[in-house]
Amino acid sequence: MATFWFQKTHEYIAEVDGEYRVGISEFAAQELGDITFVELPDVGATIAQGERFGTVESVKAVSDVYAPVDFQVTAVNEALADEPEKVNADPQGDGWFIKAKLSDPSQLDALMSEADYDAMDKEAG
Amino acid sequence: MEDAAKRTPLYDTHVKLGAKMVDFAGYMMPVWYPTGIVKEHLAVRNDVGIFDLTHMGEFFIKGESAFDFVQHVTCNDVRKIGNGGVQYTLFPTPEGGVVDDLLVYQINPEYYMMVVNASNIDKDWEWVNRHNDFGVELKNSSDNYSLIAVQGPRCEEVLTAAGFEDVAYDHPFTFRRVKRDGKRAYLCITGYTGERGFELIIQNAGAQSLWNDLMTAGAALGITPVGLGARDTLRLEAGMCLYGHELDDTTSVIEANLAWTVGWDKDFLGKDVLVRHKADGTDRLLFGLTVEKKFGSPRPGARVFAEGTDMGAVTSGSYAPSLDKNIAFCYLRPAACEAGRELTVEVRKKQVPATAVKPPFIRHRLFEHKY
Repeated sequence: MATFWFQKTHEYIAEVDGEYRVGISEFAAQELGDITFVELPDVGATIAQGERFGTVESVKAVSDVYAPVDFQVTAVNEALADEPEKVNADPQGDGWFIKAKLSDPSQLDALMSEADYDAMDKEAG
Repeated sequence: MEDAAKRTPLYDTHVKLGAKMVDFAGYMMPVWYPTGIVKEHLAVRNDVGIFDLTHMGEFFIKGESAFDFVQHVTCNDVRKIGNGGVQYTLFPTPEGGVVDDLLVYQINPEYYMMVVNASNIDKDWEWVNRHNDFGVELKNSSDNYSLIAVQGPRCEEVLTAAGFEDVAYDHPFTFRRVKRDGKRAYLCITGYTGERGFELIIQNAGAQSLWNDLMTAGAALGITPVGLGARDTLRLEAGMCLYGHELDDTTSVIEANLAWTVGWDKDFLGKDVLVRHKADGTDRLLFGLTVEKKFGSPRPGARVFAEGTDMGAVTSGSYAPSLDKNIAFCYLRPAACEAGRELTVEVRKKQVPATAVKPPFIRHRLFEHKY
């Protein structure tokens, strides 16, 4: 079972079997429409909270993605290079962007739970 | 704010279909349906798609001098079209720019319809009125007519199944006037996709039942509602200009490679400067480029380089679903407009390799009788 944390800009962190994954929410994937390209950082890169760590491009929009917490990239989802549509198909599963080692897991406490994120007025943002 | 945008008669239909609605040029329009842009795009190329394009503007021109008036304000030669003919043309400015691009429909030489871009309705209306030295009667019927397009290889089958008689995709750029449930309609063999297709311009009161009839008739033929997102990728692949991107009040008809639309044997507003542009050449020309899928899509404003020299900028760019790579329109120095030339273009602040291509990016299938 995965536990999810979200930030307002629609990125998530999920804890899956003791690993942390970062990606974009179902809502964000749906809003972007058909995703055609995902740009990801290099493995080993250190990203600070709030820093841009990638770009998602759909047919109609380009959107940067921002780190919800401080982390180091331990793996990137190589499958997205050939099949960026996986992000639309399963953004919070197979469509994850990167695996990360968190510098300070207590930063998660400041993020939204899944229930809080679901309840957030997303259209207003 | 929210209510400032107009709703077409099909607004509720789009919402029920789950469309993402956006304010486009003051109209709430579907940008895509849950099907998604890529599948909507491919449906038009492979089968058939249906579009609500009610945001487009309709003007009517009536009077003894209607022919002379249209000859004066547009650059194409209206003598070429004949009754029941449709012509792609532009309103050039005396300064060498473009007010809008449009289609002109000749009902007879004393009666014309113009279909103009939604974003330019007010500006165009002001323009035609300002240049009406011919005493013609002008009517802006944009709020009275809806436009439904049926585009793709199976378009004839859909219209036939919906009860239209003698439907044949025989002469692209013609139209006929029909009655549909007692409502005035124009059945036009026109489109903006590069595919065989029809556009139906109908009085608003007839729009909903026409849409429903076409959807029912097309169900077995794979008819797919298509939003403005795929409309844009379809027209871009087909190498068709979009006002506000490839055309504006600073671009000349000649720069946009639209010299074929100019009636050189007639007089019209802004002719002098076009004659000069044709004789002397221009500093830039509209051209195309492609970028491999893995590099991402160039976007409007991205600079284009050849051997390190800045050659111009992108005006429209997108992932092209039919080609599975990225394509773009760009204004380039004439020296760089050579198909196959290696270029670089800025994508997300990095220079990536690109190849110059002469648009269209796909082969038009408008004039193919059967395939």
